[in-house]
Formats: sequence, C-alpha cells, structure tokens
Amino acid sequence: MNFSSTQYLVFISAVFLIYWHTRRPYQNLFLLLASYFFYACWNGRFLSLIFLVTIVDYLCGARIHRARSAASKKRWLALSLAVNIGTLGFFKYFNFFVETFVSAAHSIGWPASFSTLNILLPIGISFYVFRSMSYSLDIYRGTLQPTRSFVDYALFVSFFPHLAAGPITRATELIPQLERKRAFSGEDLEAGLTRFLWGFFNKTFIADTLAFYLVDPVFAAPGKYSSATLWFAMVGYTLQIYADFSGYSSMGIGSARILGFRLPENFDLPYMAVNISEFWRRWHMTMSRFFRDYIYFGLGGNRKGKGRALFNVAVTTVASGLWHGAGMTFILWGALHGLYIVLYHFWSGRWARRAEPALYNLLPAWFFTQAAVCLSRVLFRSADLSTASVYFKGLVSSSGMETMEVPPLVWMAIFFFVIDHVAGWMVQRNPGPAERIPVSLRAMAYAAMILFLFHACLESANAFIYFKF
Amino acid sequence: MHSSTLSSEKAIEEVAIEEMKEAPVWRRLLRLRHLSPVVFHTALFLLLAHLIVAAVMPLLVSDEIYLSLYLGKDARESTKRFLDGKHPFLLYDPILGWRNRPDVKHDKWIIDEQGARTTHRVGTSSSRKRYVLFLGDSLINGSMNVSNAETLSAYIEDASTESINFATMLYTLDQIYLDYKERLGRYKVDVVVVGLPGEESTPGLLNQYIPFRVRAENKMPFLKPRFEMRSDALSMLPVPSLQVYEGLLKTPALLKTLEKTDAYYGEFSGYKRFGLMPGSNVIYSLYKKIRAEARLTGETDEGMPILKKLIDRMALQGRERNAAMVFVALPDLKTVAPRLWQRVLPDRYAARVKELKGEGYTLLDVRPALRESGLPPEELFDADGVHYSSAGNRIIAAALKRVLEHLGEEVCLDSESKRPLV
Repeated sequence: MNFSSTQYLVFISAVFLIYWHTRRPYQNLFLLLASYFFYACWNGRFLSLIFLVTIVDYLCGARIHRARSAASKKRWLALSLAVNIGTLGFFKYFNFFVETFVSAAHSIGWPASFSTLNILLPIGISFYVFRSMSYSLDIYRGTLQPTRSFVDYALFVSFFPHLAAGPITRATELIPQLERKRAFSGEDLEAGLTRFLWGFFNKTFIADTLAFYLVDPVFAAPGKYSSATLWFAMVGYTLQIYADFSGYSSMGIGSARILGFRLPENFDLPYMAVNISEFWRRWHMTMSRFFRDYIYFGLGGNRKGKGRALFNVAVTTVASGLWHGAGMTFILWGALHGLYIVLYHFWSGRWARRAEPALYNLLPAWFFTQAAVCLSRVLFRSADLSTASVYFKGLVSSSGMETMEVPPLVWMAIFFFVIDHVAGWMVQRNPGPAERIPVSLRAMAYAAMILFLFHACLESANAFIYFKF
Repeated sequence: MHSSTLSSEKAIEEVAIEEMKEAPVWRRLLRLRHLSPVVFHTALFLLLAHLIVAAVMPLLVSDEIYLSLYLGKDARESTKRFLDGKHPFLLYDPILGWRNRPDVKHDKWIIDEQGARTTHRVGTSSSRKRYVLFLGDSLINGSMNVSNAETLSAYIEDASTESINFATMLYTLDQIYLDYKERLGRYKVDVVVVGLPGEESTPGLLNQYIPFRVRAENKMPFLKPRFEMRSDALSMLPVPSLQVYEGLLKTPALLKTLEKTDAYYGEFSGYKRFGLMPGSNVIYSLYKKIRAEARLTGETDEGMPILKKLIDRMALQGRERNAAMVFVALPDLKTVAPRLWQRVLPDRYAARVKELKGEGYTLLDVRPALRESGLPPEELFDADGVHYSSAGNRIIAAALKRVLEHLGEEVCLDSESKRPLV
C-alpha cells in the first residue's frame, strides 16, 4: 500500500476516524494493529521479521538497562546487534556477498562455487532494523531509559507513517510521544494534511513525471543517447530522487501529524547546500545522523587525529552506500561521497576560511557541490557498474546520437521543483509573507492542486525509490 | 460600545472553542470552519467543484468529449491504431469485431499465418489424428508469459491427438459462436473445446463496447457483436462498419445506439457524474469494487438465457458435423483460492457450473483439479491471477484428456471425481 495510492487514502481516513474515537489506553494498540495491517498489505509473511526484531530489542533493551556489569551490558548489546545485523545481512546482502566472493575467487584462479538463494527483500527492512537497533544502542550508551510498555515499543518500531521508508526516528523522539496523551487539534490536522498534499504532489507529479518521461528511458539504454540528453537525464534523476524521497517523508510526517505525532524532518533543502558537508546535513538527515552517531562517533570521530578521522569518514560513507543497496554501484557511490568530504575538508582547512560568504563565492561553491552530487547519482541510479561506465563515457563523448524529445510535462515538473525549492528557501529565511496569504487563497490553491493531481498522475503512480532500501 | 461588543463576542467565541476542545472529535470535525479554516475552505471549494461537475457539466459538455476523457490517451491511441490496421496483435473483423493478426511473434506469444496459436502448421500431420479445435478467449489462447508449447492446446497433444487453437483475446461466447460457425465449415474437427471464464462468462454477452465493461482494457477498446433475446430467439446486433466506428469519438450517433444496446452504458453515465472528481470517484470506485467483490452485480443472470441458447446452438451444429462439444469452466485465482473474507460470499462459480451441468452440457469444471494439484494456487496462475501459468495449463490439460477419453458417452464430467457424472 503506497502512500500515493487510493487504498492508502481510504486506510488513513479510516485510521484517523477510529483512532481519535478510541479511548486513550487502546489508541496505541489500535495504531499498532493498523501498522501491521499496513505492512501485511505488501507481504504478511515478513511481519514475522518485524516481530523478531521488536521482541529481541525490547528484551535486550530491558536487560542492558538492568545489567550491573559492563560485560553483561555488552553481551546483551551484542545479541541485539547480532540479530539486527544478521537479519539485515541475510535478507539484503547474502547473495551480494556470495557473488562477490565467488567472483573474487575466480579472479585469483580458485574455482569457488557457492549457491545463492532466492531471497526476497522485505520492504523497509533497513529502516525498521536501524530504528529498532538504535533503541538498544541508546540504552547501552545511557541516553535512553527502556520503555515498560511492549505495545509502545512495538509501535515505535512499526508505526506506519515511518515504517517502510523512514524517517529513521529515534526512540527518544517517538516513545515519549507514545507515552503521553495526545490531543486532537485543528492545527495538527491542517499542518498534517497540507504536508501530506505537498508530499503527494512531489511524488506523484514531479518525481513520477521525471521518471517516466526522462530518467527511466535514458538510464535503461544510456548508450543510445547523446551527451546532452545524458546530462539532462542525470540532472533529472537528481531532482526525481529528491522529489520522490522527500515526498514520501512529507507524506509520512503529514500522516503522523494528523494523528498527533511529530516525526523528525528528513530534508532541509539539500540542493541549496554550498558544500558537501552541508549537503549531508540537509539530505536524509535522520539517516545521516544515525551513521554519524553510531558509526563515525563509534569509530572515534575526529578525536584520534586527522588521519583517523578521514578513515572514519570513508568507513561511514561506504557503510552508508552499502545500506542503500547490495551492489558495487552503491558502495562506489558511498566511497565517492567519502572522497568528496575528505577533499572538502582539505580544501576548507586551507582556503575556504579566507573566502567571504559573498554571492560570487557562494555561487561557484553551490555549483561545484551540486555538480558533484549530480555525478554521483549516476552510480546510484545505474543498474550495474557496466551501465554506469557507459553512462559516464557518454557524458564526455557520446556514442549514441539520439536526443530525447522532452515533453512539456517534464519542463512543468522541473519548474514546480525549482519553485518548491526556492519558495522553501525564502520562507525559511522570512516566513512572514507566506503567513499573510489569505485563507481563501490558500484553500483555493490546495483545491486546485488536488484536482490537478487527480487528473495528472493518480493512476500512473510508481513505487517509491526508497522502498527497496 | 462597539469595541466592547466585539470583545464580548470574541470572549464568547473563545469559550465556545474551549468547550469544543472537550467535545468528541466527530463533533469538532463538524465545526471544521472553526477548527481549521484552511481545510474547511479547501473542502468547500472541492465540494463546489464536485457539484458543478456532477450537475452542470453534463448539460454543457458533449458525450464525445466525455468518451474521450473516459477512454484516456492509451485507449484513444489503441482505437486509432486498430482502425488504421496497425494494432500489433489484432485486426478489425466485420463479423467478430476483431481477430488475431496472422504471423505475429511477441516474445513467447506466436500466432501463425492462419491466426492460430499452435505449435505446428494446422492440418499438416501425415497420419489422421483426432483434431481438437480450441475456441475461447485469452485463457484458452494462453498467457503471453507462456510459450506456445506450454498452452492448454499444446499440452493436450499426443500421438493420437492434434489441436488447433483459435482462441482470441477478450472473446465472449457470442463471438466464439460466430467464430465456431466459420471454423466448422472450414476444418474437419472431431472435438471442439470451448473455454468459459467461470462466473465471468455471461457479463460480456450483454456488452458491445469493451471499455464500458472493462475500462482498464485500454489496449482493446473495441466494439463487438452481441445477441439479444427476442421472443425466445436470438437476434444479432452486428459490429458497426469501419466508417461508423471511426465516428465514435466525433459524433453522438453510435453512442446513442450503444445506450440502448450495451447493458454497461451505465458505467459511462456514472463516470460522467462521478468519475471526474477525486472525492466522488473514490466513493463511486469503492462502491463498484464492493459490488463486484460481493458478486452482486446483478447483470449475470440476464446473460444466462443467451448463454444457454448459444451453447444449445453450438451443440446442435457440432452434432450435425459429428464434432463433440466440450465446455470448460475456467476459474480465476480468487475462485480457486478465495481469501478468508471472500469465503463468506456465495460461491457463484459453483452455482454457475451446477446450473450448466443441470442443463446436460458436457462441462468440465477444472477447479477441483487445480485445487488438488498440490501446487500453491499462485503457481497455477500468472501474476494477474486470471491467466494460467504453464503448470496450470498442464493440470487443466490432464483433466481435459480424461474427459476426451469418455467422449461419446454424452455425460457431464467432473475433474474431481475423475468419473462420468450423470
């Protein structure tokens, strides 16, 4: 059940009405059952994995908290990590590691032969495993008290607005909200619905239009297109992935808001970033902070010297790449971003501080940052390394001559994307004028947007890109 | 004075708002205007738009424009390709509506020069074998995901049996009957196997324009012939000529005719009022879905007398040419393995089979064979849950072979008991 499907609209409407008419002690239980139903609409069998991760981390969290010795705490944490990483590793990476090992063995002349398994990738596994794992880690680090209520904990792991594709909410952010009484408010209803609508627009119009008319055809056969088309599709994909993922996040945040919950923001206008570090502070923020807090700081951060800090950056970004998918393209994408960050730190240490934050400095900085991000997207989107290689070669000297005829809808999607980004940036700097827009005008715009979406894209909605992670 | 009145009004309003905070949510939602002015006004504008579209627009907008919107871009393009003779799989036919385009290869789906999906050239066998003619829709023709050698007609073949598969996408029994009359005249066949798509076998008999019944079928927005019952006799409503066909999206004449001849015209009328706006569309779609799932469509029984009459005629003409007739009831995935909530609904498939068996037709119900195959139901079907996989076809073929062994006994057979039933 996609957020952009009619079924979801019916589902969330029913959940909203029943939830707010359910007595407080049963509200969380109702949401938990609704969340399991939501997940079971994809594949009910994989609910067992969610149950496993939930039960293990709930018990391990309690045990870590109660353990008196550091060794005992470590043992329970190790169990939690083993189950979480083991589950994720098996379902997401088993075949990749086997194939990589066999291929490496063949390359050194050892005729290794191992069978891969026909393993389905459970939707959202990377998200709920990380979410659940962070609970044990936070208790171990002493930043969180375990919750007594199993239902609250299970709902934290499986809450449907963030279940399938984030945001990767921390226990400290959601469990306190689950434990206290929620009050229905018009403010939440309005903020939630408008946020959902904006996310819906981003996903079903901007992302799907770019995917259908531009990105998918070009990335399917990059060898036959001219350099100009390849550059254009690369930029198109950069816009598509943001509209797709931020659209999903907005729909999740909006859904949670109408139920009285605040989920953390996942994006903060990443394409306005003027350096790569800033980009990562603005892009998929809940994932970035997870990697920063648990891997980068876990490895020692920058406390053990500059060389070690750079190594830690590399490990963190490669792990981030691997988290996105079991493939060499993702690992290289992560490594490339690691290289960007290392280069940026060298550059900023030597020259950047001298630069004034004036427009003539910011514009090139913005341009080079976003160009670097765009180029890395080729690795992220390509089906395999050979496709990526053809694509990169095509960018500099095209073998194909076909130039794609771009339909007006694509230009319209790009136009709305730019408007969204620039308007968001302006509102962030000065929210006053936006707040003064008359209610009737805003309402008319929302109504027009709903009608436009209904006719433009409801029936052609694609699955979300981040579901497969 | 004026400012004190205003402030007291404001105070009253604030008290009312405070009181409302304690009220149940449904009561607060009824006062949406105070709760959230933006949501209230958005809903108001949308409601206004819905009213205009449902009540005013049909008076101003022509049916041809509505039809164009109803069909959508893909169906309009498919219509044009079909009328220009450029449809990849099908050709216009003045009697049948459409027929297979000869010599087509699309991945595993291969149609020979005669328009048949067969593994070899029909009638080239040196020794005289038993010829089995297969007629029906895509369930008999076979999914595009199975090869010609994995179709039901191919699996039936052995040293003594040869098959000819002329089944065509989306054919209903009226078209099958017209096709059958022509085929029997051209081929010397021993057995004719006709596929009946389970409980779906009658709705199509009341339909002339495919999109009215199945809007999603945007690759085949075609017109078909149909029969009406007049004074207990069948009367044919033919396929319009190509010239009339071409005017469908331009002039109202054909639409006016279809309003009288197509029992599913109501779907189009419903679309005009409820399909163009999101709220009414969701409610209307939900209503239709529940009605379809609950199998309360109501129109199936109207088609039953036509179905029986057509089967009678086919059986009679088969006897005249010494060809045995076997009808095969073909269930879909949800009929073979209904979900928990579907099990509480009446089993209309079983009722249909029982009714036809009661008429004494040679009817094979393949559902028991599929259920007892030991394979998970999903493996018997394509991903669409309607067409059969290679495994599904093999199981149906085995059940059909058992029936063919008993031919001549003039009995109904049930694949479950593997013995003739009287």
